[in-house]
Parts: sequence; structure tokens; C-alpha cells
Amino acid sequence: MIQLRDVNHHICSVDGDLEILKAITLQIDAGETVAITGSSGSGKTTLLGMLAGLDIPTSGEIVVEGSNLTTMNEDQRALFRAKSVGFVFQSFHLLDALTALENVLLPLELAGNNQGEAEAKAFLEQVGLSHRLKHYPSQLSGGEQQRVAIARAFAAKPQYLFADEPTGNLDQATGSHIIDLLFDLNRQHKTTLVLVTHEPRLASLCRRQIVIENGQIISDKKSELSDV
Amino acid sequence: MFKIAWRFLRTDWRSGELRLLFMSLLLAVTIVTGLTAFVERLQLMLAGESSQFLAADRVLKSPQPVNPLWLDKASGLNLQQAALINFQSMFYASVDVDAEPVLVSIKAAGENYPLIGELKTRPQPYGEITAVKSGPAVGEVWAESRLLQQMNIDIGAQVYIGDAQLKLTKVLVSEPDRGAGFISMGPRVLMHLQDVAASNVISEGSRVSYSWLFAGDKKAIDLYWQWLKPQLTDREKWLDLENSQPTVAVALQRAKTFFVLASSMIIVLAVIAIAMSSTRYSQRHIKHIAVLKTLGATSTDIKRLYTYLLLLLFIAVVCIGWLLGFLLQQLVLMQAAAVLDVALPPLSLWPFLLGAATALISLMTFTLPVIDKLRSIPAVRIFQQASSQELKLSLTSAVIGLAGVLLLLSLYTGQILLSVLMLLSLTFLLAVVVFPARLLLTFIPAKGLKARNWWSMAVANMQRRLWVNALQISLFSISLMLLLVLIGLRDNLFSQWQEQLPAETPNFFLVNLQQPDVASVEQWLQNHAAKQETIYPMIRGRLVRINDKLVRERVSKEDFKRSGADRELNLSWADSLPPDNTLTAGSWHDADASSASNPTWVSVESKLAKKLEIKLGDSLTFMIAAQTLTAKVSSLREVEWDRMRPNFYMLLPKQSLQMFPKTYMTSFYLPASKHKDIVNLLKIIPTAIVIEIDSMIKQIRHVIHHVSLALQLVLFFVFIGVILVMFATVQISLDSRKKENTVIRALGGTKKLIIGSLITEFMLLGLLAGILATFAAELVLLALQKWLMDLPLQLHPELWYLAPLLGLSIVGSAGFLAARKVTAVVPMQLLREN
Repeated sequence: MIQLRDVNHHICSVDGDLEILKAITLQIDAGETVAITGSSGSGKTTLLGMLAGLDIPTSGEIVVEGSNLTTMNEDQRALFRAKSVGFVFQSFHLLDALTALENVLLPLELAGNNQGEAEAKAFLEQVGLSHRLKHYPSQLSGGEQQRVAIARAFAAKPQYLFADEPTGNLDQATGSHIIDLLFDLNRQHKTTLVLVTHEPRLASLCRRQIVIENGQIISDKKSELSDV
Repeated sequence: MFKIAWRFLRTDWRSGELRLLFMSLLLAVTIVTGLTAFVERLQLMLAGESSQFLAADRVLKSPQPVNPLWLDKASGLNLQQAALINFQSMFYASVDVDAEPVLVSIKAAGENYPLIGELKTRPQPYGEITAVKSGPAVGEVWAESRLLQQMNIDIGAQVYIGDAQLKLTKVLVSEPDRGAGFISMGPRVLMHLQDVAASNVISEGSRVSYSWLFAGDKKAIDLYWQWLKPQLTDREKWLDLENSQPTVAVALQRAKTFFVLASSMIIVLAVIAIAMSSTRYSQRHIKHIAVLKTLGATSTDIKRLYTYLLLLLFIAVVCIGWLLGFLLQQLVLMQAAAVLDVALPPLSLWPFLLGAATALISLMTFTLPVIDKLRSIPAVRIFQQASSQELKLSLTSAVIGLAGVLLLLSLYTGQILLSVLMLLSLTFLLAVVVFPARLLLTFIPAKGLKARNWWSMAVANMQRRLWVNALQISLFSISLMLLLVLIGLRDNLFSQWQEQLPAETPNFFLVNLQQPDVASVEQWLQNHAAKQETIYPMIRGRLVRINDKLVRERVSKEDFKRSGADRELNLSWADSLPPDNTLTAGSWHDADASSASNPTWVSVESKLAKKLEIKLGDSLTFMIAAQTLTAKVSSLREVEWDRMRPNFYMLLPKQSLQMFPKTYMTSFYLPASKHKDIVNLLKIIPTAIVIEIDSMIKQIRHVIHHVSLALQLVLFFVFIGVILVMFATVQISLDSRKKENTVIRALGGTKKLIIGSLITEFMLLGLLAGILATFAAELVLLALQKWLMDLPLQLHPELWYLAPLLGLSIVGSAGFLAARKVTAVVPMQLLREN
């Protein structure tokens, strides 16, 4: 469970303090699928970063499974991420110098699992890339790269998976395929999924939709539909 | 466009993208300007100081007055002149017929003597030393204190040289050019040139040496020498530092070679740093250019924009670099000038031009071509991010770059062939070192990222970028090697100089001792804790025949005179081969190893043997005290004449020489505090002649000491260059490392893990580079010792640990700073980049 209590965040700019998040209070339960939507500059990406422990707010508390992220230092938060968090980025962010397999092995090794090769291979097989194990990111298409990223995100069996516009850089067909893959794996591994998207179809696949504007939650509703 | 260029420059500066290129250029300009000015002015200072050995820039020596036209020509070229006459004469303290005269060595000096340097005098024997710029006035005479003691006269006494009555006004301590002829016999007396005529001591056939001293502009001197050279006969000698003071000349020559090497290495290091930071800077401008192109900028616009930008950068770098370079050398030279007690030589424009040329040529050959390439890439392809591939070094840009370095080196050294050779060998080394570097990297097996701990992550990182790391190691090791080569050479030079004139080098020669004096001299030296060399007998003899031919017939007149064989030679015997002698042919016999079955042998100094074409087995006939002695050449010896110990052209067996009239000689070291006791020695043995060479040794040491200091400073500059290259090299992979490590941190890698692994990786790279650099440096040093510096071959064990340590610490520190930059990016940035 992730709890946000009165989270505020502002940054300094030439025009003075800029409020990015305003008094956000929110709870995300284990196993939920949450879509955060909103217009550009609304603060949704900042909110995702806070949930994942990539950043801490100016004020307020973020508590994950009883641990307060806001009182942790950077390395403590890194350890939390290694243990509990998976990421899927819009720009994939694979390491160019590593093969597909090595990229998937990375979070396993960071979490202290040194015998993870079989698991990594299994994940790549699940995303349909067993024939691309030794390929480098530059040798893969955008869709393939995002599949490697999804395999990497699930590899360390995180409790929480955060996805930032996972289909933003992909064409529609590939995007659909990636969405299916993401939700399939999510179901199998019972991960809590939080994603940021502009795409109504993707958002509608999540059980809960949060809309954020000007740093404030303007709508938070749970859909009647169960997860796809 | 100029406005855009200015804006780009400001934003680039603020964002830090420009800083490395700026720093590399600035250091290159600072170092090149500062060091060139430093070396130029130091050489002028040292040349000035070493000219004191001649009391002039050049000296013309002749046994008779020279054609007055020669001197007019020198005046026409605005050369300063001074005339000297050296001769031996009797010196009387009284006109009384019973007064006992002393044979003295007289130097009669005209106006302006000495042209360079100072005469040191005392108002009374062992009074305070004063330096004066001119010799005695007409009617006055100065003499060494031992003459005053010997003749029991005081300052103010009337003395007589031939018919001239002169007043003794000062005690002469030293003349700057004493070293050039210190083997003179008898105490030194300095008188005015105009008094020589009145003395009537010089007549036709007198043994007199005339000298004309010249000083002035180097060009004028060279011009004069070109004019004079064809007119000289074998009677005249033209002296410069090289033939009058070989020890100092060789030291200075080697130091010059060192400076040229060091300066070239600094240029190479600076250029490597500039080249690397240029590429990085250009890569970071891909986006700028892409945006400009899509906004409608033409290729020409972009070229103009970047030309302005680089021009602004050039102006800023050159102005600041000039100022820093000037301040740097000024501070150091002001101290050196104070120590050397010479005026600071003027500063020429050359160092500033060279500093600016370094920046200009570097920018034109390294930065512009890369930007020019970007200009030609279609906007679409730039957006596809293909450009970092396109930016890879092409053959054309490599050739342009090498030509740029060659141009700079040639400007700097003034020697095209040397520059080509240096560049070729460095390029070759760089190419060759990459392979062992790559091999070393693959020795440690690793797979994947191994993001478990510092060590395994570092090793894995090193191996993932095999070629980039191999190239980095090569660059590290080449720059380290350059530093090591210079350290090695410096040590070679130091030890060579130290060996030439070690502490307690003999500072007195004692000659004209008789057999009964030997024991008392030994006793006296022992009582005064003097460090004494062997006492050698000295028999005057003339070489008259080589085999059956008269020496005069056998060799040309010129060689005959030059070899000194027309004069009497000093013959001697020695129990064993003397310390400064090395056999070059034949074998050494003990001094008494001559018998009826084994005829008299002679060991000949090798240079004289060469001049007179004497070979092993030749028989030499000497005329000694109206008797002849024939000996067979049994060995040839190379003699180091500059060790301030008695040495001889001819060594024969004791029993062949002992029946002839002989005197004895030795040299010894006496500490300065005991110098005044020499008078007592002369009281015990009045016939002995003491020749003090302390001031000459001091002068030589002085020059060498300052050359050594300069070498250290140059080394420091090279060290800065090495650090610069290492930091620039580390930057090569900084961007990709930033991205990678941010992803790793987002996925849960801690800052500690990343910093630790980066430092470990760079320390390992530095260590490997150090090991390779040691091998390369030893090879290059051996080559330089053999072919360029003419030094004995030797290895440098001190470098074997120094290089790996230096590599480890410098590259490790560069890695630490890089790690700080890498981890300064927050993982949140990954979300923002979308």
C-alpha cells in the first residue's frame, strides 16, 4: 500500500516558486491498477516520480508498506527501488552497451540475485524475445526495446510497477501489443501498476483513474470494469 | 549570426558544455606562452652567465697581433671589444739587483675588459671580496694574494715588470675567464694593456698570447664569424663556450634538447586534450544544429555561426592565456634572476605568437572540421541521432589533425624532421599500445553488468567498452610515458652532472713539487683534512718520432700544432690505470712491468693518438733532457679531462722515466674555511705552485644548478599537461556513463555503488596505463639515451613503481570527479527526458 499525505512540491524558477503538486492525499492499495492522466505540465510525471521514490516532496509524507520514503536518504530510496519497484519508461532507457539479456539481468543483480540468468531468459521469452537475447538495443526496433524494458521491469518481481507513457514512442499497433503484454504480466505477477498516460484507451484499462490538473487531483474514480 | 553565436557561447558556458574545451585551450595557450617565454629568457640568462667563462661572447686568440682590419670590421658590426695579452714575466718587488724575482703569469687588459662578468678583488689579502667591472688603471697592477705572501709585499708597494714601474693597488681574487687557461704557471698578475709597451718585456719571439674579446648581438657575431672564418690561419683560434668550457657547453646542450623535447610533449598533450574536448563539444551541439536547420538555417549560416563562436572563444582564451602565461614565467624568472644575480632578459613577441598559434591551429584542425561535418548532415538524420556515429574520426580529419600538430611542433622546435619523427613515433606508440591494453582488459573474465559490488561492476564496465577503454588506456599511458621519459632523462642528466663534479671535487692543483717535498705535502694535506688525489711525477719530454718518421713529417702542420705535440708533453707513470681513464685498446701494464724481454711501453691518450695517427704497436721516440727514449704503444686510453685531477697524454713504466729530472703534481680538495692556510703550505715549499680552480668549479655548478631547476619547472608543466589529458580522456565516456548510471540508480543502484565502481574502474585503467607506460618509457628512454642525448644506457627502476602509482592516483582522481558529475544527475531526470 502506498499512502500520500498532504504532499506538496514546489521548485524555484525565475518567476519565483512554482507549485507542481498541491496538497495531494492519496492511497493506492496492493494489486490496484492506476492510471494518472492530465494535460501537459499538470504534475502527473512528478507525482509518478514521488510514488516511485525517485524524488521527495517539499512537504508531506509518502509511506510505502509502512516505510516513510520522505525520511529516507537517496541510497535508502535506491535500495527500496531495487527491492520493490519496476519501471517502464517512454524512452525505454535500456543501457546501450548491454545486450537484451544483460539489461534484464541488471535489476536482478542490483537486488542481489546473482543466479538470475534463467529467470531473465524466461522473462524475455514471455515477451517474445527469446531469439534476441544477445542483441544490443541499437539492433532492436522500438517495440522490441520496450518489450525488453517490460521484461526488465518484471524481472526482479517488484511489488510496484511504474510506467511513464509506455506507448508514447510507439505506433498504434505496437502500442496495443505492448499494453496487452504489460497487463498480462501484471496480472500474472499480481503487481500494483501505476501508469501515466495521455491515451484514453490505456487509461480505461486501469481499474482506477486519477486526473490531475495544476498539481491537484480533480478526479479519482474507480471503474466498474475489472482489469483486462 | 554574431548575436546567436554570443548567446550560444554564454549558454554553453553556463551549462558547463564549453568549460572543458575552454580549459584545454586555455592551458595550452598558457603553457605554450609561459614555457616558451620561460625557456627563451632562461637560455638568454644562462647564455649570459656562461659567457662569463670567456668574459665575452667569443674570443679570438693569436700568438701575434692580428690584422687591424679584422678589428675594424668588428667595430663596424657594433661589436664590443676588449684586448688582452697573456705572457709570463719576472716580477720584481724592488730595483735592487739582489732582489729575488718571481715568475708570474701576466694578463694585460685593455679598456672594457671584462666584456661579460666581473673581476673579483680584495683591498687587502683576505679582506672583503668586491666585484668590479674593469681592470686596473694605467700604472696600476693587481696580483694574487699568494704573490704578496711570497714576496712579502703589501698593497701600495711599487713593483716592477720589465722596465715598467707600477703600483700594486688590489689583490686579485678571480677573473671570469680564469677557467679558460688555468694551467698557467705562476701567480696571476693583472696590469693595464698600455703599460706593456713601457715594460719592454715583449719582443719578437716572446711566448705571448693575444686575445680579442667580442660581445654583442648574436646575429652580428654570427655575421662577423662568417666574414672572419675564411681569413683565419692555423695560428688563430676562435673560442666559444663549446671549445673553451666543454663541461658547461655539453650540459647546456643537453638541457636545450630536454627543453625542446619537453615543450613538444606539452604541445602534444595539450592538442590531445583539445581534440578530445572538441569532439565532445561538437557532439553536444548536434541538437543545436538540427534545430537551426529545421528553422531554415543554411549550411553557410551554420558555418558562419560557428566561426563567430570559435572566434569569440579564441579571443577569450588567448587573452587570458597570454596573461596567465606571462605571470607564470615572470614569477619564476624573477626568482631565478635574483639568485643568478643577472638582469631579467627582455621578453620577445614570439612566445605570445606561438601561444595564439597553438589555439588557432588547434581550433582550425580539431574543432572546425568536426563542426563542418555536422553542417553537412541532413537535418532529418541529425534528428535520427545518427550523428554521433557520423562524428567518428575520419581519415581526412585525422590527417588534418596530424598536420596541425606537425605544424605546431615545427613552429615550436624549429626542426621539421625532429617534429615528424616525434609525431610518427607517438602515433605509432598510440596505435601499438591499444592492443596490449585491450589484451590486459580481457584478462579478467566477467559477464553482464555484475552490479553486485564495486569491483565486479568496475571490471564488467571496463570490459563492456573494450575498445574505448583500450583507447583511453593508450592515451593515459602515452601521456604518462611522456612524463616518465622526461623524469628519466632529468635523472640521467642530474646523475651525469653530479658524476662530473661531485662534492669535494679537487679545487686546487699543486705543481712544481720536488722529490723531497712530496712527503711534506702529504703530511700537510693530511693535517688539513684535505681530500688528496695521487701524486704523479711529471717529466717534460717532446715526442719526436713515430716509428721511423719524424712527427713533423708524419702529420700536417696544422694537426701537429693543434695536437699540442709541438710543445713539450708531460710524461708520467702510474701504478695502476688512473681513475678517469678508460682503456680503449690494448692492455694496461703495471708501472714497473718493463724488462729486457718486455721493452719499454707507453700508454697514449686516445684523442692525441687519433690526431697523430698513433696505433697499438707503434714505437714512439721522446726527447727527454737531451736523451732519447723509445717505447712501444701498448694501450690507448680515453681520459676525462674535466674531473679536475692530474692526467697525462703519455704514461710510461716507472723504470724508464725515473732517471730523468722530474717534478711532482697533484690536486686536492680543501674546504673553503681552510683556503687561507694555503699560504703556510707555500711557506713550507716556496717553489710549489698552487692553482686555485674553486671559482671555476663554482661557476660550472652554478650554471648546472639553474639548468636543473629549470628542468624541474618544465617537468611540472608537463605534469599539468598530463593531468589535463587524463581529465579530458575521462570525459570521453562521461555522457554515456551519466545516462547509464542514472538508469541504474532508478532501478535501485545506490550512489555508493556507482561512485565506488567508477573510481575502481578508473583506478584500474590508470594502473594498467601505468604498467604499459613504464614499458614504453624505458624503450623510448633507451633510444633517446643512445641516439639523441649521447648518455650512457641505463634502466630506471624508480619509474617502475612511480608510473603505476601516478596512473592509479591521477586517473583515479579524474574518475572520482567524473563519478561526482555522473551521480549529480537525479534519476527523476529520466522521466523528464520524455
